[in-house]
This record gives sequence, C-alpha cells and structure tokens, in this order.
Amino acid sequence: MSKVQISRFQIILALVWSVLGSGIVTAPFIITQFVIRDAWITLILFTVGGLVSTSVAALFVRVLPNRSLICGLIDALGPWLGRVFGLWILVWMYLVSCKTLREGTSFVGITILPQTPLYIIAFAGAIACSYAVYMGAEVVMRNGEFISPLALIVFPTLFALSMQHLDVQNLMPVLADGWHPVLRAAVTPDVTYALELLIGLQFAHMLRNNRTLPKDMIIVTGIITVLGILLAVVTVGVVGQSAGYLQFPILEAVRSIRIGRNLERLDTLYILGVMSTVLIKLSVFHYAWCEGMKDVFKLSSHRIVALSGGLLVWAGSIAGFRSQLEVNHFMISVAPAYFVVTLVGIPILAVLVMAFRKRAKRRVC
Amino acid sequence: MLFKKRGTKTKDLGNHPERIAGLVDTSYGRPDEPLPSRVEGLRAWIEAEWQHCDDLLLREVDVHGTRVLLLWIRGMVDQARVEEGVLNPVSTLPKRRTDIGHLESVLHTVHVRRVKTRQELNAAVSDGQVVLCIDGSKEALILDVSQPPGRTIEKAEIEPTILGPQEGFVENLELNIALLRKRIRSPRFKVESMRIGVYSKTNLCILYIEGITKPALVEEAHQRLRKISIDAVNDINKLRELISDAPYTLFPTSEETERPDRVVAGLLQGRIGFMLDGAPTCLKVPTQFIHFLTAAEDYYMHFTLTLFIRVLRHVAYWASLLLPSLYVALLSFNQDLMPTPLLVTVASQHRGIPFPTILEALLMMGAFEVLREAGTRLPRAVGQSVSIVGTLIVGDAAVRAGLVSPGMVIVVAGTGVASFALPAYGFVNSSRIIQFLFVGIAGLAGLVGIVVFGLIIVTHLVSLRSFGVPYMAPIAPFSWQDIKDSFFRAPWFANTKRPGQYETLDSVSNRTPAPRPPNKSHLGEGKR
Amino acid sequence: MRWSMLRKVVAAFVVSLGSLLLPGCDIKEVDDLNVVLALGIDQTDNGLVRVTAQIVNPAAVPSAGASESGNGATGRAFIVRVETGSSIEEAVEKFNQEVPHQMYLAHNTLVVFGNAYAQHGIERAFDYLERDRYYRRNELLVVTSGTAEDLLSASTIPDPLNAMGIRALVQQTGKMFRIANSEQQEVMQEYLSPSQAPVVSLVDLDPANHPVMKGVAVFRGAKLADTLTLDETKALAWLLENTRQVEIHLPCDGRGSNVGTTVRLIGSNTQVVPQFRKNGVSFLVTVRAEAEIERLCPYERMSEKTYKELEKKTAEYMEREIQAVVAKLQSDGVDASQFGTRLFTKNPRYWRQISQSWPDDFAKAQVTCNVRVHVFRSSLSSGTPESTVSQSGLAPPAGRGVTVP
Repeated sequence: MSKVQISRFQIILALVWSVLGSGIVTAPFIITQFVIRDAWITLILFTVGGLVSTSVAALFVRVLPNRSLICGLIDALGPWLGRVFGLWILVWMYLVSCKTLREGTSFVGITILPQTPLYIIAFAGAIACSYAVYMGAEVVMRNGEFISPLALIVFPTLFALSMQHLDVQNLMPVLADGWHPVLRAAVTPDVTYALELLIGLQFAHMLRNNRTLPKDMIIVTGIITVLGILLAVVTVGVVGQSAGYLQFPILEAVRSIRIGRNLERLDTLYILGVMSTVLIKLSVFHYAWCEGMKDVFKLSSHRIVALSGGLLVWAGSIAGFRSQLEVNHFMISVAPAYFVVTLVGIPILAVLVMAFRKRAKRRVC
Repeated sequence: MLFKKRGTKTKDLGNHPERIAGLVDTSYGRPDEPLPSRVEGLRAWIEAEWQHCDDLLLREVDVHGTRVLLLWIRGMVDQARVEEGVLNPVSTLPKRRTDIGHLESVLHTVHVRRVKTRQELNAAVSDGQVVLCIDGSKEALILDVSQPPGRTIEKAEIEPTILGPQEGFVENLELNIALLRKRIRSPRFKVESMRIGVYSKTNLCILYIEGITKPALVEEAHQRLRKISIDAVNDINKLRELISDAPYTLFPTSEETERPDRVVAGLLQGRIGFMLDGAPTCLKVPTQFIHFLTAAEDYYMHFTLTLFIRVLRHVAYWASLLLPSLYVALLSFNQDLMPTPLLVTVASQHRGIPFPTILEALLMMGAFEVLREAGTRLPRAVGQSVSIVGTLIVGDAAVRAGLVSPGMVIVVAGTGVASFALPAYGFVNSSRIIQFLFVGIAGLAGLVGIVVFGLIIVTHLVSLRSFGVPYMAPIAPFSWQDIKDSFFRAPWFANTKRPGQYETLDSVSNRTPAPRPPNKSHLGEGKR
Repeated sequence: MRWSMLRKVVAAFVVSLGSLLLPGCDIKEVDDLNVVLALGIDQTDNGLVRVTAQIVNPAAVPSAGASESGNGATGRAFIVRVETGSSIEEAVEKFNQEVPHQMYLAHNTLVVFGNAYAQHGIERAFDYLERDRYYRRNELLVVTSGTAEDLLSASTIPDPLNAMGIRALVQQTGKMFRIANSEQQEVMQEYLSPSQAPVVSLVDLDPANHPVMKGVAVFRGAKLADTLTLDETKALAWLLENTRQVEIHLPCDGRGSNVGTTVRLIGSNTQVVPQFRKNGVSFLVTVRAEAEIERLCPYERMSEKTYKELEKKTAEYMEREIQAVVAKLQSDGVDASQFGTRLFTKNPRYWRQISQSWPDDFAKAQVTCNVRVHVFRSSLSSGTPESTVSQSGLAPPAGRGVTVP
C-alpha cells in the first residue's frame, strides 16, 4: 500500500468543517448566552485563538517534523510517558467525537425527526462515519472535498435569501454593555473551537510538506473568522433580540425566509447540510482517534478500531451527554480549561522536551 | 469465501507466466516441434489435429513434380484472392526449381511470412489464412488472404451524435485499429497485441501513445492481462470484469466506447485502450466518474453550449438517481419542504390512492423497468406497440382507476427521461439499480435517510480507484487543471495541459496561443 | 487482500443495516394529514382559550386538472374546526382526539387573535409559537376586532383558501410599508425592543362578511391598547421606516373641491434623531419623499408653481398626519413609533437612566417634523383635460397656453 497523502486544499477544508461543522450548531447558542448585539465582535476575536493554535502547531512541526501528534508525543516523551500523554489526548478526541455526534444528533432530532429515538439517529451517523474512516484518511478528506461545493451552494443561497429580513438596527448600539460580556462570550468559541483546529496535527505526516500546516491553519482561521462574522451579522440582524432565548439562532434565520408563496420553510435543507458537515467533522475526529490508537497500542492498522470505535462513540454520545443541557454545560464551563491543558500544554511539553533532548545530544557530540 | 479457490489459483498463475502459456495452448501433440519436411507426414498430422473440422479445406497441388499442400478454413478467406493470388501463380509457375523461397517471391498476396512450428501453423489456420507447405521444406508459408465475415463500418449506434465524425467500430480488430491509426498518424501510437483466452485465442490490443502515457500504467495493464486464463474472451465486458479495480461496485471503473474519435481523445489524454477482436467497442482506462457524463458531441460544439449541456446532464443524472426517492420522502416524511399550494394539490391528488407512497413508487418503477426491458429486447416493430400500450394505456388507465397518483406517473416518467439524457448506457444501468435503494431508504427514513445513504454512496465513490487514479478525480481530490473539462469545457486555447491525474510524461497538449485578432480590418481600408 | 475484501463486505452490510434501521418513526403519509393553514385564538367568557383551526379540505381543492375529472369541487376548500382548552397547546392537542387524521401544523401561515384574547395579552401564545418546531416564525399574526373564528370562516373569493387570501390581503398593504406585514418574528422584535410596543395588522369583516384590511392594532407590552386606521398606519409608517407607493389624497380649493387631487409617494425615507434637552427628549423626524402625480385638481394647468404648491401641500398633510398619530400614541401611552429604541441606539447609557420613567417621558416628548416632498413626474399628462377643453364658442386653444418650464 502506498503512503497515504493528502493535499493542502483537503486539510484546509477538513479543518474548516472541523470547526464549523458543529460550531454552527452550538456556538451561536453559547455566544448569545452572554451577548447578542455584539456577537460579531466575539468572532473577530477568533483570530486570536486561531493564531494561538497555529503557533502551537508551528512549534510542533518544527521540532517534531513528519509525525502525527501522538507519534510526536511518543518520540519526544519516551514510549511510556509518551503513551500516557497520548492516552490523555485519545480521551480528549473521544470526548470531542462524542460531543460532536451528540450535537448533530440532537440538532436533527429536535428539528426534523422529533419522533425518532436519538440513539437510532446517532447510530446511523456513527456508522456512516465509521465506514468513511474505515476506508482511510484519503476518503475522509475527499468526502470533505465532495461536500464542500454543495455546502458552498446551499449555505450562501439560504443566507442570501434570509437577508430580506436583515435589519442592521438589531446590531446597534455597538458595545452598549462594554467589553466584559463580549470577552466572556468569546471564551468558548475562540478558545475551545479554535483549539480544535489542532486536530490537524494528527494529519501532519500525511501532508507532502508538513511545514505548510501552520500556513494552512492561518488560512483556515481567516476563513472561519470571515464566515463567522458574516453568520453572526446575518443571524443577529435577522433574528434580533430573540436570539437570546432561541436554541438555534442560525436555523431561525433560515426559517424566517419567505418569498412569495413558494419559497419558504427551507430549514430542512439547512439541517441536512449541517448534518453532512457534522458527519465530516465527526469522521475527521474519528479518524484522528483511530490513527492515534494505532500508534499508542501498536496496532497494524487503524481499520481494526474503525467500526468498533464508531460504536463506542455512538455509546458515548448517548451515555456521556445525557441531555442538551449537559452538552452546553460541557462547552461553556468545562471545555475551555480542559482544551487548553490538553492541546496547548501537552504539545508544548513535548516540544520542550524534544528541544532539550536535541540540545543535549548536540552537546554530547 | 466463495471465490477463495479460484482467487488463489489466479494469483499463483500470475507469478508463473510460463505455466499460463502451457495452459493456453490447445494443440494436442508437440506444439513446439518443427514441421515435418515431407508433405505426407504433415498431412497426416494435420488430419489428426483437425479431425472433425469439416470446414478445413486441404488441397494438394502438383507443381512440376513437387507436392504443395494448401490448407485454409472455408469462409474465413477471400475465395477470389485465393484463386488469383495463390492458386493461379502456383499452377502457372514456370518450370524451374520450386522451393519455398521461390514461391514466397512469386505469390502475390499482400502479406507472406514463414512459420516453423506446429503451434504457429494452427494459429494461422484459425486466423483464416492460407498455409502453403511444400515438399522438402521444414517451413510453411502463411499467405494472408483472410477475410473473416463481418459488417462494414457503420454509424455509431450507441453513441450517436449530430455533429462530428460518425464512424463507429465494428467487430473486426484490424479495421478498428485502422480507424484509430487514421486519426493518429504517428509511430508513437503503439498497438501491442497479444492473445487471450485458452480456446478463443482472441486477439487483444493494448493501445497507448508512447511519450504521453505513463509507462507504469502500461506495465500495470500488462500485469493484469497476464493473469487472465479463461476459456474465451469474446466481449469487452468479460475483459472489464476480469481486470476491474473494484469488482463488486455498481459503478463502472472503465469506459466503453464505440467511437474511434473518443478513443483517440482518451489516448491523447494519457489513457490506454484495450481492443478485442470481435468486440465493436474499446475499453478505456483509467476512467473517472466525470467521463460518463461527457459525450462526444461536447467537443464538437462551442464551449459555451457545452457548459449548458453538461450542467443539464449532471442535473439529469442526479435526477435519475434521486427523483423518485425525493418524491417519496416529500410525500411521506418532509411535507414541510413543499410549498403550501403544491402540498394542497398533491394531497388532493393522492386522496383515495390505496397504497402508501413508497409502495406506489416501487410498483410504478418496477413497471417502468419491465416496460423498458421489453422495449429493448422485443423486435423493433413490436417494441413500438409495447411502449404505446405500456406508457400511454396502462399508465393512463392506472391513474384513471385511482391506483396511482398522476404525480407519481410524472415523477417516474421524468426519471426515465432523465436517464435517457445520459450518454453512457452502462453507467445509466447502475443508476437504475441505485434508485431503488434510494427509494427504499426514503420510505424508511425520509430525507435524512437519503442524505445519510447519499453520504455513504459518496464515501464509496471517493474510495474507488481506476488503475490507481481516484474515481472522482477532478472533484475529490480537487484539481483546477483537470476540472477544465468536467462540468464545463474550457475553450481549446485555454485548455493547454493534459489531465494531471494521469501523470503523463508530456503534460502540455496545446501550445497554441489564445487568439488575439488585430483590431483592424484588412478589407475595405480607406472606405470608412 | 482477501481478508480486507471480507471486511469490506461486512462493513457494507453493517452500513446498509444501519441505514435501514433508521426507522420510520417519523413517517406521516400525506393522506393522513390535516394540513392546517391558520389558527384562530379567542378567549371565552370563562377565561378559556378557544382555538379555531382551518384545515385544507383535499376533496374540494380546485385545481387545474379537477374540471376534467368531473367530480370537481364539492363544498369549500377548507374546513374550520373549533376546540376549547385552558391553553392553546391543550386545545390543539384536543383536535387529534376529535378530528380524524393527524393535525399537521408545519404549513400554518396565519395566527388570528380575537379581540378579547388580544386585550388580555397575546404573550401567552408567544412561548408556544416560538418553541414548537412546526410553527415558522414567518407566519403572519393578525388581530381582529370580532372573533377569530368568524374571520377564519369568511370567504376570501377569489382565493379559495381563506388563510392564503387574508395573508395576500395583508401583504398587499405590507408592500407599501412593512409595519403592516406583521410576521411573528417582527412582532417579537418589537415586543423585545426597548419600546415594547408590537404592532399587529388588523383585519376585520365588512358587512358583506368579507375580510378587509382595517389598519393596525398597537400593543402596550403584549396587551392590545388601541387600533389605528389605514391612514393613521401610513403616518406611523412614515415615522418608522421607508415606505413605497403610498397614495395621498388631498382636497382642492375652488372648483374641484369635490374631486381632490392624488399624489403617489414613490418612496419615502425617514430619519429620526433624538435630541437631548434639559427638559427632556425631543425627536426630529425628517422625511424625504419622491412623488408622482396620480391626479391633478380639475382645471389645473401644469406649471412650476403647481408643482411647488403640490409639494408643499403634501408635506403639510404628512406633517399633520404624523403629529396626529404621535398625539394619539402619546395619549394611549404606546410607543409604537419606536422612539425608545431610537433613544437606546443613540445613547444606551442615557437610556438606562431614563428607561424607568420612559412611559411618562414619551407622553411628554416633543416631535418636530421636517417633511420634504419632491414631485418629480406627472405621469402621462401634464395639465388636466378640463384645462384644455374649449370654452363654448371658442376655438380649441393653440397650445398648452402656459409656459412650461
């Protein structure tokens, strides 16, 4: 089997969907918990989070080139300590997968399949992802490539149509309550979601030249920031103050479309679009997780755990997050600190140790 | 597994090509032995070997005392040419020393060669050539006067076009190759021929253009062909299934065409072709999904028109795949996606239909498929009446009787028409099956099911490869260079490179500068 | 190699099984649905909620193909059913016990509040309408001064479906000024704005029992406070937003007093600037409008003077109307003009200080109008035919007789 290789374009798309895939579902709710009119400002701050994760990635690929995240940990921290930290990161990936599946499931369950049990929707999703993961990283990435143009047609159309209700007055006055709520709202999307970009490190060794990864992450940060601001402006402009109590404000912006008698109730299209992007995010994370398990447990192939792992994610999404409330609690209160420790702390530790070891070796020589 | 034993055998054989050669030979005794020098011995051997082959003709001629044996198969040769080019010269030979070298120079057929072994002799006879043996020579002369029965070149039937060349391949390999050579007059156009099939010994040609096609691709083709050990290969589909990349998929991973112009275009892109004697089509590999939605005519029209037609064709493909399932999903799950006036109309139409939508859809689609099959297999005259009875009378009666709703008839008919709009027949047939799967899913889970199943299909599609090239190539993995001939066709002057996905040796296909006409008139100067 | 093949087959099997298992719990055949187009919400005398549902009658839907089949339309295109319960959702749930086939609310396009219910406050309906997945926030909210049941039972010829007819009716006015097109999301925005004054369009029945657009109802919080006529609604629209294609009728002096003149405002543009003074807040309303002449006073000739006069008269009329509607709103204590919101947008800190006393401040607020109308075309005629008619015994005039600029 030849070496698996993915292109820069593919990793950019995969990372964009890794953030937007579920971010488009949950992030608006979390942001509007704290701030409505100034939601778009919190998304400008996404660049900060994106740059933080980019710099972590830049350090990592400079010191530990051509390795995936888990491989790098094992190489830097030694087979035992490295595996312990690797396991910690595996748990993180597993949790994020479960959370993503849960977000997607409850979104679909609440909106278009109210009478279908959640575990069945989740099962279908987990199986579809496991199949993609089973077929390999290239297939996961190409899935993303295939879905992106479709999303590029559906989403802008829907948002252009919902512009008819756009009222810029809803965004005024700017910063009426000062910076405090804006910064508080910015924590989750700009730390948690931005750090999720570091999943790209797990795919670093598949790039032709992994030095380009930080560059790609900057591009991704830019894309997400621009899209995020547009989304925030359109959503708040259309939905207005009601965003304060609605569960899915962006969905409501789409639901508001009504042009003549024939062009309305397009929200099902939006939900299906979101569903497929969530599945892409899920397969990216699931693949990273399986690949990590392969390295930690010295398996012959990630395929061994693709299906069983998918079932584990399915179980975890239902048992781990028992209600929508728990997902929101996880994202608002737990995730930021947990993600910082996992995704900034551990890679930086590995980088420092590796740098130290290199220097020690040089001195010996 | 079921295919276990056979699979192992094929694999083992692949490692020992000489064993295949042993298996492939069908002559009974001593194939590589030289021919006996006396005609009697030879004749005895031939009569034993070709026992009960009553179409074999043996003729012994006495040429100035030397016995000459002629043998050929009736019907495979041109009688007039045998008479004129072989029998006449032999009988009117001036009295001189008659040996094989002399005969070779006298005989007037186009192609004359010598053979030494019995195996070669057998092959030549089977190919419809006249074999001439002469007393005292251990060699025989092969005189090419073969004219196997077959039709002449006609218009392409499966892939007709209005514009552009009209020729289509026929069952004669030599004629087919000539059709290609006529279009690429260069020694770089390589035609490597080989025989496959233990009994059929069919002539197979691998076509490629040296200097463009990646050598590894040709090597891969050789490797796959070398493993073939089967009784007979008479049709291109048998070959396709034997060398396919993904044997179990519904989507074809190689492209079949009966148009020489399409083959030439493919070869110039850096792809290779397989042609089989007796098959009026050529198999092109590697093949991508997008090729099945391009027609020859796209290249004979202005590129702006091509854009429109191609987009239309893509829409038609997805419609032929999804239309019935979307209708079922809309009617039994996602009624909110319909505009209110439409829902009201549909609800009033569907009132009183005794079946649930899914069953109605399956019934109608099944009926449609049966009609389609009947229309294809029946003689043309009867086929006409079948389509009239089937579509007009049965469809209309079913609606009037209230068994199916008019909307369903429209949808199923629309699906059929959409699938007729696609240029690749084999590809369309796969979508005919997949649409049933989609309808089933739609009946169970509505639009969500369609999307999840669609994603699974997409995953399957992007995981396919054809001779190492990703099946969905210009889309996923994305390549700007290659997308220039996919959903649209870039004008020829902008399309300067060969598709990158085939990793051709020479990537530039076009060095013409873009037309920049001067902004002045050569005519009537000074009059304005 | 072979093993991976086997696994592929197993994987494919599990995958298809997984998709098949996604079961039809949400299946709802189109035959088994009652497509609800409108809900009417009334209050009974004993404080219960009476919900009227307008259901499409598939047996009687007129369609293009129906005339051929012969058994055509029998009865009305819609059915009206009524249920009573302590809340809307309870009453809606009761339909499922009393009407065969499932109620399908996703196509609901109209919610009518009866007068009594509106006076007691429509916020009781908000949470249900906002939360339930089947209601879209783009449905139209309408208030009627009678009962919702009567309005939903009326005939809206030529539209066979009452809800569609009423919605079309409201939208025709909504084209001129969006305030009349009170979709749920806009009502919610006004309800949640600092001014807290939703405006909902008012549709009543005329004596012939046909629905008519009567104007708008203004709410204080969520309680019905007052209703405005269509003319007053125009003035409210000039205060709030840009309008299009609004017609204004003006009286004429002299000979044509019984006919009057008509001006069509092609478009108007409104700006409201709050001004902070020592003794409170005042608002400067600047309206700029472009107009064309729909009809001129009889015997009027077209001249620069006529243009100017017409512009002046129109502007004066608009100012008068605006002041009148402001006065009415101030006496009702309803800030439907969204002055509070403007104030908040302009100066949120100041708004925080005075928001407690805003109802009083609003009643005292000074409004200064600055309306300027520009008549920029006179349609197909310049002068009137009367001005050109030849006086008895005289020859027809040689020309227009007046210097046209």
